[in-house]
Amino acid sequence: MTRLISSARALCGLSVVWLTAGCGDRPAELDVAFDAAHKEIKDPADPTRDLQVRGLTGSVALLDVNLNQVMMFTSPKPLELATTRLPVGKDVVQFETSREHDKLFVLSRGVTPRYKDTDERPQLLVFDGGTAPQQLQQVELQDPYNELEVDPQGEWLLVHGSGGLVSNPNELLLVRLGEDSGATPSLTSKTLGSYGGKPLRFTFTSALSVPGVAKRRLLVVQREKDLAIIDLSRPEDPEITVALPENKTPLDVVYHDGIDGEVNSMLGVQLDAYANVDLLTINAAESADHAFSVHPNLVDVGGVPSKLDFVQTRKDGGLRLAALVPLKQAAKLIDPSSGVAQEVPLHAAFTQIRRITNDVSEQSGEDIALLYGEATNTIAFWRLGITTGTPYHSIEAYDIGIKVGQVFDIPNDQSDEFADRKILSGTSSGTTQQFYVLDLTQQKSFPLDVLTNLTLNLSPNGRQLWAFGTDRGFAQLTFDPLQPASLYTEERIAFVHDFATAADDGSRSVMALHVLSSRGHSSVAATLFDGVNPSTAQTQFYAELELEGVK
Amino acid sequence: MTRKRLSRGASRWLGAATCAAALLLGAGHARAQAPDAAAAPPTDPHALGNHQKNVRLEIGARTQFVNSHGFDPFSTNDVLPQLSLGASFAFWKQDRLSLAAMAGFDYGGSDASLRSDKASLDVRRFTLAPEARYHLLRVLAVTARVGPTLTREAAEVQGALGTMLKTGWKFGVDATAGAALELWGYENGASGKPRLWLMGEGGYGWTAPMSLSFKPEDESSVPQRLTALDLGELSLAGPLFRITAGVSFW
Repeated sequence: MTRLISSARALCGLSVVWLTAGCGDRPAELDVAFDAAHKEIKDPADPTRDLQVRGLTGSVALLDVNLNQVMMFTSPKPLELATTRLPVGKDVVQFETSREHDKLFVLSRGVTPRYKDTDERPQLLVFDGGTAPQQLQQVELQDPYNELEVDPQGEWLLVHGSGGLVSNPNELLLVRLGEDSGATPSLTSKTLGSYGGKPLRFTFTSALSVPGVAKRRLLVVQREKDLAIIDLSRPEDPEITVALPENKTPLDVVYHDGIDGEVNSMLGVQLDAYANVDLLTINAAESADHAFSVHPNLVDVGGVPSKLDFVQTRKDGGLRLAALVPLKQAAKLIDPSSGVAQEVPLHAAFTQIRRITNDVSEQSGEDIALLYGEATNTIAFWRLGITTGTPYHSIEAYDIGIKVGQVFDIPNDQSDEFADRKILSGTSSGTTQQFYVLDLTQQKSFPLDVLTNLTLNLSPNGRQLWAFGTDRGFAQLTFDPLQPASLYTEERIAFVHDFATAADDGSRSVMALHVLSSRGHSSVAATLFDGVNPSTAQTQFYAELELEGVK
Repeated sequence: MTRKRLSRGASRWLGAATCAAALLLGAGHARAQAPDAAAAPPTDPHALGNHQKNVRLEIGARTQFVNSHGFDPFSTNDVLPQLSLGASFAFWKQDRLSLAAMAGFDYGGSDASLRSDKASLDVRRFTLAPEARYHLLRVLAVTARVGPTLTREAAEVQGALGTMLKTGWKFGVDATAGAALELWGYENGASGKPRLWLMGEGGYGWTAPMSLSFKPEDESSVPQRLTALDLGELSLAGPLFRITAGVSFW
């Protein structure tokens, strides 16, 4: 009897072992549907539109929000696609790239509220955007934040906007990324002193000269009634608060490194609905608390300016703050040392100015600026300099078919061959939509007709442009020769981006991303083309990409 | 859609088969108390006779635990349930030992979510095997069976591009051991009346792996140069259990 019971027990035990062996290894991710993550469109020029996708130098990153992962699509060689999944934390609120598109930044709030120590913390992650995606850095945060500002020079990230029950909008977290991508980023928490205002916008300056000390970069925090200036070389120092006249709200801040023997580094502040601009001169320190001091000077420009920029009217000198005043159809050139403003009549009510001197390799030292605006079909090249009778050399105006809303710079991180080109896009008055390729060197503009209003995405290599809508067609535009090529996919397009393959032979792949509907959820597919010589007849279609890495 | 109906149909058959077997066994147990007047007098009243040498038809359920990663997309619990049908002919006997030729057919499937898609698997297995039986008692025999199988596997993924299919025939082998209990039947081994049996067995089943590289059902409606969806390899291998009810004749 005892033997019988033992045998029965052994049989039961064996059954349990079998059952256990047979259960439980199905990836839990398979039970989680894929839903394309969307975001609010803040920048009309953003080629990703409302989709949480980012184009990088060697990959395309797509947020898989239901799995708290990012799918990094890379291309081992043209027409081939590989997927790498990397965790990004729970409740992603920001999904941004560096200006060069070589890094991806992801800010997540983690589990809120955190009832357990094991609940995930808010974090900021940095990923390599190259052909071998990987997490580079991780910063765990004490509290959840909603906003992320990316330094155009790639040295700093600014985290702010905590979303707790009670939050301090003037609390900023400065994250220094450093040159060593593997190093732990340094974190500086700052709470700005406030007179009631909260941050609206942030400006990272380039390195500015300061009398008596080394050059340093500044972070200018534009608040509702004042500016807070943070010395990025000593971020733990107290900030310098600059009150604005009549409690006006700043709209924009421009900066200049100054000119030896003429003027110190300067900030120019455009104020909302105010006919004065605030010129802030960076002078030597007046106390031990700061490495510099700031001296404001208010200058009347005779009307509400729409845009400011610093320009030079002669080589190694002649610094002026140019302020466009559309109502007067004029620009004001303000001498920062004297505060005297000189009026320059313009051909049209230009609202925007873009200094393009570096893009055309001007040797004279005089700046050249591009004038444009959404209220006029005219663009103009403004050659600064002083000639007899006028405070400028020339203004050459051209009528084009669109009212320019956005000017795209050609990326020059990988090649500056076409750095002298600009892409102008905006609203068209006619039935045919257009965008323009501007050759700054030759001062020529080339119209390109498009059938529908297209989204433009410049290649990170600065050699081509992709134009796409929401239908099944898109176009490649090479800059030399200026030649558009129409390409077609068999599914609707959500995003187009080209990136380097891992073959390291200069080959590229261009990916047309499709977000398809599947049983009430989404599915990701892609059509891959050769990124250099794409052809509709030579493609590879990849479906069900949301399964890659989890199946 | 067709496969979905078949899969549900298989589940219904499994339930119906179990209920029918239970009712049959309950009713049969009551009736078997009467002597079989039509039976010819046995030469040896204790001989196994038709208890041992008979033709038996079986219906029941087979459950296999499949640990293959390729099975994960189709099942949330690694279990492959199947309706099991079988027929055997005990053609040779020596004392308490007998040998039967057995033919079987198992039919079933499984389905599960595959993120935004749905994956389903339809399995039809044919078995031909010798079965050794040893009667411990007149109404109780232990059995052992090893035999080849031929399995048709049809995997399907319903997704954004429609239905994608992968089908294949795969050889395999089942090795099981168990017991057969005669629940109802005349004691006299010479009786030609039907006998009711309950069989239970366990063992291991293995089927050759099938590549799960999916192609669309309608290739004309999907994009050119579609890269096949690759879900790895499916190997229907693992422990299995089968419980069947059967009726034997001679």
